[in-house]
Amino acid sequence: MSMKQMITKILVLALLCGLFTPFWGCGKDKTQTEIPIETEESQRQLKAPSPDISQIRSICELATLECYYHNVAISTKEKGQGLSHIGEKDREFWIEYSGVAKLGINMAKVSMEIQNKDIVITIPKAQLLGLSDYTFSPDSYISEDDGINKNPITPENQTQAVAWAQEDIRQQFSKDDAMLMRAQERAKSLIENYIQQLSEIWETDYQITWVYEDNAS
Amino acid sequence: MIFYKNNSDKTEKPRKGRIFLFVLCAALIAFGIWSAKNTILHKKDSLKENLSQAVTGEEGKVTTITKASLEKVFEINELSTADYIYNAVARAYGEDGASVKYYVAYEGKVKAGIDFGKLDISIHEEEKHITIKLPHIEFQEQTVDPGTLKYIFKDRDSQREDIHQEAFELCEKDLKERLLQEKDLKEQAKKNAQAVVQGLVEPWVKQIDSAYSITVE
Repeated sequence: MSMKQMITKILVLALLCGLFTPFWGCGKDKTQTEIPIETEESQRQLKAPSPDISQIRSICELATLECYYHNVAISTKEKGQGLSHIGEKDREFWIEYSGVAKLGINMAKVSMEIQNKDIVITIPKAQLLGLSDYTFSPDSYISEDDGINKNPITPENQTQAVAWAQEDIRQQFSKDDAMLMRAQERAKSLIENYIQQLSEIWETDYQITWVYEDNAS
Repeated sequence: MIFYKNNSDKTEKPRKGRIFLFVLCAALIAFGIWSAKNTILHKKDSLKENLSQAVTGEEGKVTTITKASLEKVFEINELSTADYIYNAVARAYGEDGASVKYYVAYEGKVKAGIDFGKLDISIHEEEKHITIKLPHIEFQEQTVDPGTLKYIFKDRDSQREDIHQEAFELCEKDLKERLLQEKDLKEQAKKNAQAVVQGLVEPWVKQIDSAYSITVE
């Protein structure tokens, strides 16, 4: 090997050493910073607890509105027919009673999907979840005066009247869109508050999309 | 002389070139070694840093549940009250104050709840306990629907055409008086207020620190 060849080889080697070593080093360094640590933002996301469906369901339970109601069952006992009922008249009678209706969201139908900061919550409409047993108010029974011939209002008549009134209350609550809407809004507000608090604490700007499910489905 | 001069130029040129190449090689090798050393040192530091991070971990985010953060939650005023059905019967008495002239049934609505601004919140950090005391239940609105009045007359003289205004005022007065003594509705309104307050606080507080307990009384 001539001196010239040797010098050329040394030169090439030195060039390779000098030029590639720092780049190789930088290259390695870059991949190291990229891998697990990443940015402060992503680290926060990894650590921040995301909204929990079990908490959302318990919120729905707490949002259930126990609606006290005071009602008057208004009924009429018509006069009877036949000789023995001559002189009878229709008699209206009222019975005051009270009970509790439960309005709220069926928790089983609530679901949630989270993708990064986007949260999709599926919520059914609020509905009447049940009516409690009723209680009669003191001096609850009022009736029109009788005719010449008595048209007595029996305990059975009274029980039947309250049963009808209860059915009427059931229909009233089931069809009261404004009240049901308020019950749904109540659940939504509580859920939004929960997610908002987590957003503020963990500095994560969650975006909620509501999907409304029909109760029939 | 001329020959000598020519000969001397030929031997001087390669020597200068070799020295220059040697210096260049040495400089490149030195640069290469320096870069490699730097890279190794950097890698070593980075490795040390990663190792130290893996062993000691990272300090968790400090989240403090403050009275202010709890109070802020109660800015959602629309949750502080709820509407209740209150259908009842008012009695109009004769001059003797004992005999009933007529009964009038009415349909009413009551808005009852609490003033979130009057909540008494205290945080016991050492015991990890939050106590929220509810203020008294307030009836914020009570309305009688004038189109719903129905009558049962006991005194025929009372059966006048202008009875409606008098009866409507009687119903409004009756509803106010009933609410002063109404215990069941207050109890139910308190239960609803308790549930809402709990729903606004408990889910996110428990998620931040499950050791916290909350009493709403």
